[in-house]
Amino acid sequence: MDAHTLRNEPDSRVRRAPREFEGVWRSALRRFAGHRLSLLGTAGILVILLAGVLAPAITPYEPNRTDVLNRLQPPSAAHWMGTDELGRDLFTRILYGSRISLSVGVSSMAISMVLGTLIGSIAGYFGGIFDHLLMRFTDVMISFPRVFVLILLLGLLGHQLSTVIIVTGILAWMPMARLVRAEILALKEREFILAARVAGASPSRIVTHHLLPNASSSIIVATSLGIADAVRTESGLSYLGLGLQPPTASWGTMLRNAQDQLIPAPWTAIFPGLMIFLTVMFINFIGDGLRDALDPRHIRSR
Amino acid sequence: MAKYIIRRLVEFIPTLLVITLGSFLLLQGVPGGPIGLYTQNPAITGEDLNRLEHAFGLDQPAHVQYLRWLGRLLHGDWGYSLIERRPVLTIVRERLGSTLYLAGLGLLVGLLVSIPVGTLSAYRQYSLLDYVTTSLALIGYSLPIFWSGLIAIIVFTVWLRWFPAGGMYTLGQVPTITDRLRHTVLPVSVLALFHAGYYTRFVRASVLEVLGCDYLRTARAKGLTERQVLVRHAAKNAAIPIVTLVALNLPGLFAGALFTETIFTWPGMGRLFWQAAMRRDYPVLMALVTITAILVILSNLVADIAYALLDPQVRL
Repeated sequence: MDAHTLRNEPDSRVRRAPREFEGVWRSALRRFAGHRLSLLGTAGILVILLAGVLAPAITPYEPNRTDVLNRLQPPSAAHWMGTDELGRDLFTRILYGSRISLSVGVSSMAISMVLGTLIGSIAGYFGGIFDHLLMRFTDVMISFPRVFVLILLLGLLGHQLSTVIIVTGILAWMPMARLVRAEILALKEREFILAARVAGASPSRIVTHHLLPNASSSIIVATSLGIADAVRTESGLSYLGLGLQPPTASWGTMLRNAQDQLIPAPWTAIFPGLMIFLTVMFINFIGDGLRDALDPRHIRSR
Repeated sequence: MAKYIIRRLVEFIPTLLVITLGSFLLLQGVPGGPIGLYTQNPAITGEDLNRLEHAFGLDQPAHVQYLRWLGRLLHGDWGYSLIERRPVLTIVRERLGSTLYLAGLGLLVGLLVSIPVGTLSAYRQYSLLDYVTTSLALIGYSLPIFWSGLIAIIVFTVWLRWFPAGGMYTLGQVPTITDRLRHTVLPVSVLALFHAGYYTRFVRASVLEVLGCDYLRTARAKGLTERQVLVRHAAKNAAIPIVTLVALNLPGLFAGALFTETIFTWPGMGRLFWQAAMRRDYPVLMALVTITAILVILSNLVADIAYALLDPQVRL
């Protein structure tokens, strides 16, 4: 059956879906590609990613090289985004800053995804006392004022990149745990799970091979939106002076420095913040597109 | 229902104990205590420091300090600020009002924009208007407050000179309503923009969900006017997820306030927390953490109750 005949059948999707598992993903990909904002988001993130990776090839300047004779220069041909209070080239620092934002966003979300999936699946699958204890623990963690814990933990552990990533990650797993638990609760009494259990599959096999794959679309959507949140958290912390410390080129730190020179040099505030905004927005576009593409319940309501 | 609320309130106590104990231990672990400020002063000897530590009770082991704090709290005594030498409750009370004013107004304006816009967007699904509003909503939601605030100051204070950059009043002037309003416009707009972007998407989604339901067709079929259908059947059902979401997000208003208050030098809880954290003012920090935690737990409860009240299918 080729694509052409499929397209001519009115209910082709209904007939194809049970035939092969891959078809679900392929049709999701098609829906994602048909979503204009998500394509824009993907393109935008790719550009920002490439800019960070290729930064040394794109710019002739060093991110931390100061040049006191050229302090607070407005944007020009030599300095596309102007220079900051120490004469550092702003465009260069923006490029290097994308490395930090994206790596913090992706790595800390990876941590919270693993933690959340682990805790959510144990609670959802085993139920009973495990469920009760783990969910109470999740409630407590959610009730902790997050900013407060972030400020104190970073004060306690220092402000290195790895610390910021780990601390942001271990404070963001709770929604994921609730989501995975809810998905597993909804799935675990279904026939195919009972069949797997009767066939003698171990709990860990049932969870990893049968339950999680069926919950994967929600997990993917939540992860992509969580990355946007992590990028925002890192730049917010750095803006408050609690994230990465100077002279590291982090967009939040640059924004913090810009506050003292809004009148003589507004560009030092405009560009770093614009990058935070664009990165968060592009990731949100991707997440939105993924939701439309992967979540069948959501499609009905769109 | 009453039974459910009582059970939840009982569960509240251990949660609160864990949170306050956790925060207390975390505070103990952070290097540099409230006494650290004085070690820089050459006029203060080591003996003075010891006496201060003793006077503040900081020489006791952590668990003793925690139990003392808890004991006093049970008597309604939130302690004294180590820096300002005033009762914590007085300080918090001064700041709470201005935070509620700012955060409440921001949320209110945001909702007043997002409810009609989201509803209209759902009615005209896939129209140009729908496309524009959903995109704008995503943009508004993606704007970090600490940037949109700075941009607002650059444009409206530095360039146009329409509004002041920060504070709640002009210092050294008799406070007037117009002066207060002029100081309110920028921070509230920045907050409202974020909330509007966030809630418009949810309002649209939940109205769409309701519009597709069979009970609306039934309501129309039995001869109700379109207005009755909307007000009696659609609005109530579409409101359920929104009310729940607003209640769940209430504590987040404080986190948002931290950035807004920092940028616009607004004398609220967010900045109080920030100053206390920087100066290691333990009693103030503990009070703020406890209050926020209580708010989080209560708003979770309110969300669940609102859900049950609005949706007869949910049994508590």
